[in-house]
Amino acid sequence: MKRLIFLFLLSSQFALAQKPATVFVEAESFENKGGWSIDQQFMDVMGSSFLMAHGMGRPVENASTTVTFPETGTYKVYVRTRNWSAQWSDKDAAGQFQLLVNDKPLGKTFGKDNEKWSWSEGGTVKITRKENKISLKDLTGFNGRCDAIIFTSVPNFKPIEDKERLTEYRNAYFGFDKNPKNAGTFDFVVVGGGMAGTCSAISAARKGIKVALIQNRPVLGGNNSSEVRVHLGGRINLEPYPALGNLVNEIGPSEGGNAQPKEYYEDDKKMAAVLAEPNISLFLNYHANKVETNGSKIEKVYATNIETGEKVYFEAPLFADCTGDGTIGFLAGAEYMTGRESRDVYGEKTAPEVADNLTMGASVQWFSEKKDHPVSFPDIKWGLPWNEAKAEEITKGDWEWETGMGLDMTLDFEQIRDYGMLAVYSNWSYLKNRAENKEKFAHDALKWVAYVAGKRESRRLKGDYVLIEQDLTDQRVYPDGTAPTSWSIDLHYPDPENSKLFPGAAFKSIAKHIKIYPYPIPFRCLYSKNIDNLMMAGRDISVSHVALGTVRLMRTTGMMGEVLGMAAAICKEENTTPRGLYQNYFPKLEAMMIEGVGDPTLPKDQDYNLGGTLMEVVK
Amino acid sequence: MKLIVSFLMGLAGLLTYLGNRPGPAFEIETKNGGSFEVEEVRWGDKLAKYSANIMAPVCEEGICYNVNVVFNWNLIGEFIDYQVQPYDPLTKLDHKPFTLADYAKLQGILTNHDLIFTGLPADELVVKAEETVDGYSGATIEAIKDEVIDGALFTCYTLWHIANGAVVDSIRQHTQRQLDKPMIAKIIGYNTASANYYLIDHMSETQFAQNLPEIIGLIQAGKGYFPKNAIEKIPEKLFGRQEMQDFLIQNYDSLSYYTQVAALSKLQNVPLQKDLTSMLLTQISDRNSIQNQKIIALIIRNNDEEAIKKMVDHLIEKKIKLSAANYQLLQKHKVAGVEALEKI
Ligand SMILES: Cc1cc2nc3c(=O)[nH]c(=O)nc-3n(C[C@H](O)[C@H](O)[C@H](O)COP(=O)(O)OP(=O)(O)OC[C@H]3O[C@@H](n4cnc5c(N)ncnc54)[C@H](O)[C@@H]3O)c2cc1C
Repeated sequence: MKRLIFLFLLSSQFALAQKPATVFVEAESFENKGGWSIDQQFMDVMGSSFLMAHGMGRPVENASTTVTFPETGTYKVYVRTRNWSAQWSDKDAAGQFQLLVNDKPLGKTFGKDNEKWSWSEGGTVKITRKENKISLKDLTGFNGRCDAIIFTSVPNFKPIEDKERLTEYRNAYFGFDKNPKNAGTFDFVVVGGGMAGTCSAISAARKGIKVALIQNRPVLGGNNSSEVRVHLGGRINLEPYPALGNLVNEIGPSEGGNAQPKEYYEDDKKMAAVLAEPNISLFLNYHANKVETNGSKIEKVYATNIETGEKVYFEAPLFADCTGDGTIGFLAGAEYMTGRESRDVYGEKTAPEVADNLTMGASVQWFSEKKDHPVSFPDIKWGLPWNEAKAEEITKGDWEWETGMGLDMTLDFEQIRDYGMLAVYSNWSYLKNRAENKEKFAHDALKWVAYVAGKRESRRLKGDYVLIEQDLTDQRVYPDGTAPTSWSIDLHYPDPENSKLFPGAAFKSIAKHIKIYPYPIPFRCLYSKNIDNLMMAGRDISVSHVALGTVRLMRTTGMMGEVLGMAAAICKEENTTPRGLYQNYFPKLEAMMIEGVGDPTLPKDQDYNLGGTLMEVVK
Repeated sequence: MKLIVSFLMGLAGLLTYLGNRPGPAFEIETKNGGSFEVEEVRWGDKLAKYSANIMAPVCEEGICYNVNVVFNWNLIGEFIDYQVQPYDPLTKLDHKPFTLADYAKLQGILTNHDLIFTGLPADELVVKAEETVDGYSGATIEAIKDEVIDGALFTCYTLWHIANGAVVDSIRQHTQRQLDKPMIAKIIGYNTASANYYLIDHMSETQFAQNLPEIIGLIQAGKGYFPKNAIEKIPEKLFGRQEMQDFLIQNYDSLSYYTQVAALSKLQNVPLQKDLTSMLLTQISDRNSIQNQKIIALIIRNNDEEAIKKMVDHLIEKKIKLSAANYQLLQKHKVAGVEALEKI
């Protein structure tokens, strides 16, 4: 009998034992994001988009999702996260959060362990039913971040830390890589939905060709969207092609100002313009991250959905890199430039004697609002050391809150963005809690801090021609001129005062300007030198660092887009490449540029932030 | 020393002005509800400039007074200079009179179109109470301090907007209504880009015809896009004139590419002299451009068999492509050898 009971126990235990299983949950795929935001800005570097609690000091609402487990039983939990403030401080972590299973928190607080992205152990959890509610509970409101969660009952399971292998694991787990979907076949694929990409797509569509527009955010506009809040600058409707810019006028916000309330940036206007074009297929939330080439031609561009992880690919005879970062060119092996060229490379007066990696920086802009009651803000311990000398007694951080010069705008970008936010929080916490004049700020509340940082410069793809300072200052105008650039050569440097206070880590900049006459950018700067079917518009075109000083303005990049769309239509009609167009069909492009692609009858409302141009006359 | 001289010259101007008091030409209403009369100033029977006696209330930090000055503009509405009444000097905060340096700085301000403070709304010129630590308001904001006269911010602001406000357009229209050859000559004499642009934007067809040599002179000396814009404004008919075509024959090479294209567009419907077609033939380049196509179209339309033949041989030899439209034109002309040419 004893033995029987024993056997029974043994077998029942056997029957109850779970089959080893691993459940992988992507945070960005949570059904309900609550107050958490999807951040995809660094996915090429750390492997994935993730959820981030950007509460500007107030914990955000929980994110939650339902997860189906194959078996009930006990699971070990791992969370891929990081302690982002540990780069600068060994005090308590900025972004902390809990994981709740069926509304019960695990004992562990996440976001405190590792400075770098890695798996934090979360202990074990008993799963007693198949469907379970999993939630993220933000504890601090300061950018806690969660990439993914693993529940596993596999003995000795070790979550993969290596980025490549982890990506393979994920792809195998979700089955994404096996059969990426064909997103369609197009005449022209535009990657990047800032002003440059949006105008490229609309222009091409109006010229009658089939376009895919791929944008890795839920909104269009790039730096001019309500996510970054930079206003358009530069002039449109200039000689020698006064009809260029009519499209920019059509979709550009009618009111100017950096770091202003959301409505200023009129995201809907740009979206509506794109949706009104039957020839455009819009792929929002898709991040292009892989390119297949054949010889010197791009055949396919792959993109990953930043929310679902789903992969798709695009085929076309012609592509446009409007990513700002030159990502498509880079992936395709296009020649590119970064940093500052030395003076002897192009003989530019403004270039430094010795080449270096000083790009212009990225900005986390911000502003506060006055309330009719006092508002508190956490007295953060993990901020940068602050004092009266460092305190900026202001209520808004405009373009000059700029950082990361000298770092890599792609590989180091999470650090750059985070440092930008850290500076904002450090200053604000000081003003609110410790400053001699803190009473003055008692009623002020942080209203908006960007978490999508605005970039000015990263890779510049090399074209058949590289535009340089002397072309602009000596008005060396070429017959293949296209969109005119008109803003001064506006180059940014670390603010000397701020650099003294924060040696090697300035977060503010100064600008130096050299005024120019409007100058038509040669068409040869708008296509790659060595990738035959790649054009570019935006800040990643073929210019020297100095010349980027003027061409990067968004009315100008928008006009480049107008030109790219026209060029794409001609390439299709003549079955040629951009270089072939330049060599054989340029008169067609000239005729289109004379005619323009935007509505010329609309009232001209792009009259803010024109910049100091050497105009011949004030008419 | 220089300052004193210019001040005295200002006074001298005022005396002459008082001597020939002309009748009012038109009235301008200012933003604050006031108004002033603009008068023509004539030397003999010629319009020399416009002038107005300005009385405007200005307040500096709550203390107000009436500014009383005479303003002068040229024929195209550009502010020239001002005079103060000897008995009524300009003053700053607390009624301190302007120094000579202040008068000179004001002259600089009123003629400058590149200032920050003139583009700001009046209430953004000074620090607002809620933005200061101690609730003290009224100080000039940092960004514009160097631009303005200390203690006379609103004098500068008000006067700049009067000098460069609605009056400018009114003067330009007033001048246009009576534009004649001597006035055109006078405006050309200003020798500025804005004067040149004024002319091409405001002259009638007849005036272009009457002043063609002068306008051609401006094109020859013109900078930037002026030559292109001028050519676009000149009535097409006038491109048939010998002097225009001679000008092009002699100067085509020194015109910018975009000016050349503009000129070719204007020539499409006028008969061309032989020398011009021969010159244009030499301008067909190996680089594919709209310029080539426009020249080709011109030569075909001009119907000179010999020139056409020469051109076609050249195109064949240099393997220059033809636009579809030009191809058709040549076919219509039944030119031999057309089949050997490639279409764009
Ligand atoms: C703070 C600040 C102030 C500035 N001030 C001005 C100003 O006043 N006026 C002005 O005109 N310019 C200003 N600039 C410069 C201007 O905003 C930039 O040069 C801008 O990048 C030019 O526009 P763009 O279309 O090339 O790129 P962006 O606006 O950067 O657009 C690129 C878009 O592509 C998307 N993208 C990137 N990679 C991928 C990918 N792999 N797959 C899919 N989508 C992708 C991005 O999310 C982005 O939306 C400023 C910049 C900053 C940061």
